[in-house]
Amino acid sequence: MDILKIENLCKKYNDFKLDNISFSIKEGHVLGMLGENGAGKTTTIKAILNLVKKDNGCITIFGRDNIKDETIVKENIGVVLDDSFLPSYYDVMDINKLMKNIHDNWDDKQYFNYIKEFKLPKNKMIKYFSKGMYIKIKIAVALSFNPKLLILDEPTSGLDPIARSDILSIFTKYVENSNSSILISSHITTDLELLADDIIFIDDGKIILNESRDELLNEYSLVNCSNEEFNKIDSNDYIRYKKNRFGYELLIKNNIQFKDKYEIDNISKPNLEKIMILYIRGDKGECNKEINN
Amino acid sequence: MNVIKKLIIKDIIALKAYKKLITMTFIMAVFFTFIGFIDKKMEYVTYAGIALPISVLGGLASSVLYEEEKANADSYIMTFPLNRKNIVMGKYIFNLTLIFGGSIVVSLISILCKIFLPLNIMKTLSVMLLFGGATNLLFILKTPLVYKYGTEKANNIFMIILFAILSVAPIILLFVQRHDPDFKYTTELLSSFITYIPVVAILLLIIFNIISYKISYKIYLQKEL
Repeated sequence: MDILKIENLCKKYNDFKLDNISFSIKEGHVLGMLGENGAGKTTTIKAILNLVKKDNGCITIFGRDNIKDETIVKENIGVVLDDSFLPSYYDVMDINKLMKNIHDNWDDKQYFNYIKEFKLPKNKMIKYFSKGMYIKIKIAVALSFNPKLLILDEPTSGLDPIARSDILSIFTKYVENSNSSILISSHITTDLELLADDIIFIDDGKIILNESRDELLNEYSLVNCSNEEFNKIDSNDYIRYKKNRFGYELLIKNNIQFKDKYEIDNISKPNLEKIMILYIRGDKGECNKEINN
Repeated sequence: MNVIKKLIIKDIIALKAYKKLITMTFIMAVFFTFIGFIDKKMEYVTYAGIALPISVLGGLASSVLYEEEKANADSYIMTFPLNRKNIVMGKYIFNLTLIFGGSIVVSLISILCKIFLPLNIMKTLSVMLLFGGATNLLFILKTPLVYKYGTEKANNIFMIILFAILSVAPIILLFVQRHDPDFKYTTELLSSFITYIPVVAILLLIIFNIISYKISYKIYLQKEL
């Protein structure tokens, strides 16, 4: 069953357009949204949560319309927003009081377990929290009413590597234990490599890639070749290329066929970051190739 | 109604930020009421003991709205199982709750005072209505502007509107004086209506609250958070 389904989502601003975004998340799956700042990740999340008005498209959460059944669906969505939280004079205890009143299935015990695990002070106002503590309290709140869907906008930015790793483990455990789903947007590609089952790349308001993480990491390859070698390669045999000071970097999909055809050995497995950079910043096509020559 | 109750509780928790102000207000109210007892001055009880707490409490709904805006909490609150209609309605009901809550507290104080002082209950109720109504009127005039432009800009616009209204008042007075130099007929006219004024004022406030809420809701519905 699709926990979240987006079809042809469009949203136009003066200087930016979210263009026919479509994707879905299955139960128990984690979908990672990757893209540069300003690519449209946060706007997509805001449209899902009805924080911005979509111009077109259909969004269903748990099989229900996200606007018509807004209050019902939101009862089961835990959210971490990058730029928004409660007023700064709240402390951990106030937040518990507030959320107990807001969410019918709020779990005090679980909340205080997270508070303990994150080592957050109970009676200190959140305005005195460090950035890491501030992110952790947002995450603790998002997880403490057992939501079926977590929507996380840059949840690990600003955290040190140890804290990031701890948070990612918590998300992983959460999905495993509750069979919940996560939509996570990030530009920290290593986080998504560890957590996401499926990855979408958003660039300039469009989805340019939507594949499973395993497929991305196993089937894509990175070729490093010289200018001469590059000139011999058919543009249909690579997905993107980028010139560097040693020659060319090519993103390809079928490395065995490629190896047989061109006898180039310098082929390696790219990480998500490399794939993203090549997809977004790389070029494609014979036309560009001729210009480069 | 359950959702509105949730929102009011949320706003009551938010009053924590104004704990000192609320405490100070009630200390002042009790202090002036006490002075009123000693000096036998009813004005102290009426204005400081009654008007002050109602005015301060009534103003707190706008302050909570401002704090949420400052923290950019609007977006986060919209992720709760609530919709925009609930959020806007919650703010109006919270304002009325504070005014009624304040009124109940000061009514109890007044009843206690009546045992010891010749307090005019009708006058007390009038003061309560006047200040409660004025505070509510300020809220309902300002809130649509706050939803449209944000608190800071709304305050500036509101000051200009207030200044314009206050500038018109002397002109109206001059106009009345020209036709009724001693205000004799005007006083008579007002006197004949005086008993209806509280009822009319309450009815007008109810209508203004509904209109203001509808405007605010319409604005908030279009707002991108």
